[in-house]
Amino acid sequence: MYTLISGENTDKAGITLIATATPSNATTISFTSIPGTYKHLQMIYFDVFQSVSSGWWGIRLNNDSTAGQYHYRNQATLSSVTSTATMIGTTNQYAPIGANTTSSATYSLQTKGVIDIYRYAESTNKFFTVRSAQEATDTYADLRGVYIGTAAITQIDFIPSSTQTVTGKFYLYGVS
Amino acid sequence: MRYEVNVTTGEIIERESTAEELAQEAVDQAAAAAANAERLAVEEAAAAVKDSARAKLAALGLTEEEIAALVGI
Repeated sequence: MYTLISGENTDKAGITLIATATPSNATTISFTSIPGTYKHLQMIYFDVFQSVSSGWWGIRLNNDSTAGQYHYRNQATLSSVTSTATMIGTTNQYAPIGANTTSSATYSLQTKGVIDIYRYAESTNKFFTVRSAQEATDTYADLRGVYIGTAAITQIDFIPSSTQTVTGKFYLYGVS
Repeated sequence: MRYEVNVTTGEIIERESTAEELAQEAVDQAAAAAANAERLAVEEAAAAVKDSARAKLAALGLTEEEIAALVGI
């Protein structure tokens, strides 16, 4: 017999595309005014490349730049380091969009990934996972961690490590 | 150019950064550079320790295969 798990919504079970971004040479990507309608958020991105090979991109939630708010680690690099920083992906090894991804034409050399933010609208700290991959050395991520913030997530920003720009396709889904 | 999507309305805005946003970008970039430099320094220090261990093990007569089994490639 199937038993409902805590938080499961039987009325609107499913996944809904709620926003699409196709930036070209953008200095920052922001998803703002995210409604608290859903249980979880999922971002899928692909065909992503940037203007310099040495740069990378992190993520900030609710435009919160307070030091120590993000705790996470990268399993992909087998690192034992637990990092705290002002955003997810402060260094190349912890980046959802990694270095060496500058090809506008070669799919394997572009970033593709998934970001999940669980129970984003609830009044608890927000757990997340980030998985990304590209055919480049040391530039893939398998992050899992927590954002220390109890307010509902209403904004997601991609933050560059320097002055580079990014191009690609980003799809934000609400999961019920 | 900043790229913003208002998820509620679907509106997409492309605009330049404000002065306040430019200031935050400078802070972010400095933090990223510092964090990455720190990570690289830690990795270089670890590599130096590993090289030292390999040299000492080689001096004891271990083969390359035996050293690799102990300290990794």
